[in-house]
Amino acid sequence: MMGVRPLLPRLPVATVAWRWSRANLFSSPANTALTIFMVGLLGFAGYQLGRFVFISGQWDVVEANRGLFMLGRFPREEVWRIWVILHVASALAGLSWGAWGRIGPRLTGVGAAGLLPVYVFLLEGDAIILTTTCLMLFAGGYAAGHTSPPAINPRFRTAMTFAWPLAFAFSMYMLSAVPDRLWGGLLLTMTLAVVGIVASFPLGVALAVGRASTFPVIRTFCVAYIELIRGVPLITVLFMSGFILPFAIGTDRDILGIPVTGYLPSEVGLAMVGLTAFTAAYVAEIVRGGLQAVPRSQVEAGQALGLGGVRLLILIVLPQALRAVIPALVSQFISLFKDTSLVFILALTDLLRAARAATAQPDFIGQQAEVLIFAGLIYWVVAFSMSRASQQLERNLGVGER
Amino acid sequence: MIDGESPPTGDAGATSQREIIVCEDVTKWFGDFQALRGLTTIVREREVVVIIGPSGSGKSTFLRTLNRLEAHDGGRIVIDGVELNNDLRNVEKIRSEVGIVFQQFNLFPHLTVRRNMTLALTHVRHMKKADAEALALSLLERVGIPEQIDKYPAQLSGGQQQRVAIARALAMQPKIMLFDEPTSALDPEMIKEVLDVMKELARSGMTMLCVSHEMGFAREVADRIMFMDSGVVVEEGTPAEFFTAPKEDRTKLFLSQIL
Repeated sequence: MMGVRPLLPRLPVATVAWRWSRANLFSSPANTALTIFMVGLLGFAGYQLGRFVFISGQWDVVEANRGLFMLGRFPREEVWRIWVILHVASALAGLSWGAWGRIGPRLTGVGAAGLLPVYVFLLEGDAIILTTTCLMLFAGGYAAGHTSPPAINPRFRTAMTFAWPLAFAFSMYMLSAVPDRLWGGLLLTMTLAVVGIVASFPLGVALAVGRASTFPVIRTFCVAYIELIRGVPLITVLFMSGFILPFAIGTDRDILGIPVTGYLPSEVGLAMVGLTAFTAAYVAEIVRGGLQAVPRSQVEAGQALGLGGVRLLILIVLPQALRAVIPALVSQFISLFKDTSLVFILALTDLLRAARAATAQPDFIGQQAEVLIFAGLIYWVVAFSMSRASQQLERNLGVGER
Repeated sequence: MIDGESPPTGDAGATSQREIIVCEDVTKWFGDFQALRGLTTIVREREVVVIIGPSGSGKSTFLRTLNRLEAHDGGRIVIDGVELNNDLRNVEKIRSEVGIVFQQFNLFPHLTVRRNMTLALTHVRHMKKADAEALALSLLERVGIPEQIDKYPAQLSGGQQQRVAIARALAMQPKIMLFDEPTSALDPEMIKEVLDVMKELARSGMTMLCVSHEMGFAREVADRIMFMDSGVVVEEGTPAEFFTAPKEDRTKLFLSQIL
């Protein structure tokens, strides 16, 4: 319908639009009725939403609670730690993107359009300058990565694969100076998601490989773990890790007659354990699908070259298996990111809980819609970015796919 | 053509007396199906053996037992003095001496030609990266496609992929090369380029076992034709004997069907 272009003479836009709507919207009386009904419905919904967002909505609740949404009770004199982390992450993201991918004019446009409201409505004071320096680091890193000569580029990439884990460890170190019961808002949400992803991925891969193992003990353990966790709702796993795990390992007790002074993990630590344990089971099943997709002949080719055991797995099987399941993995990680909102049952103040807490303030009672729309928007922006990043990753790794 | 007197000199078809593969009463079952029914044969160093036979006769299975991609159930296989059994060290030793080329090439699709060839050199042979790459390049030159070294397998034609697969196997400097129907998955115009590489390899004195339906190739380069049916060797002989005066009825029937 759209492609009436190259061979035929170009028709006026109005004619094309008219023919298209005749063919698609008004082809029969029933279709015409449906079209009119849907236009009315969508128009009404759009009007209501627009009216709410631009006229009746009272956005002062968002403006007044920006700090709460972003950081929860994180001490403001320690916020510099987060800025340091953001600067490191921006520089690395820029370098990595430059070394692997490409930012086209469209992405630049979308990014700029997305940043504009952030600058206008969210930032003030130092945050404007610091956000700008982050962006400059990203741009500079991108330029450096993108223009690196082909001979250097592979080394660049190798350096990046080491830099990211280091940056992760550094970030956790920076954050750990502030007691984690004070972490909150988007900061807590992102921390839980990142730790959950970083920890559940290797654990899930190990479980998947264990499930394919020929040792009955290992295989049985992995199957039992995966099936047990998958059969239980996340909220139950969080409950278990929050209330039962501390009893099991936390209190002072004798183990085989030796008195052990209990180490009581914090709620944030327990939430991390719960989210990781839960996600790992799903990652394991996704990776298992990938392992099964690698043809037997690939294993034989590796064996014939003398590769065996772990080397065969790491060099031949896993790279092909993981590549095949990137979309499903990213989907699982997006789920994890959104599921972090369940940690409110451990009395943690993540982004969603912070948003709801804001509406409990006397000044802002009844403004739930505003904060929920705002929180939803943030979730969507992050989740959508993850989805686009995974598509970029697929394109980069797709070279030479059969 | 067994030349017992002269030591290996690199002449075409000069076979030494040294027995490099000895198979004795080898059997192999797949569930209820017996693929090999007591196969006995000897291959000498520098010999080129072409194995032919109807489909399901156990040709590929036999080839694959020689580097233990299939474990045989009964009988003995001794390769270059090392018995093939459940001892993993023996299996590794034999695999490093026996290269195999598959019908479907089986290149690693996620790696460039360069990495396909150097992977085992650096990880199994512990060769330095630069040395491994130099060896890879020289072997690609030998099979005639050095310019493809940075491509991915999917970017190559079938014939080019199979030549890379041969070069990859040769990179391990094997004493024996196995070919499991190396040209069966290729378009006709690509068969010649692969056969040319194999002929050159045969002339260089490599010990080769080749399951093939290419009778022209068999006639030209084989020292011996081995005809298999129903999991046993029915008849063996030089190409001249085999094609002009087959002894067994089953051989005559098979040849009448394919020639």
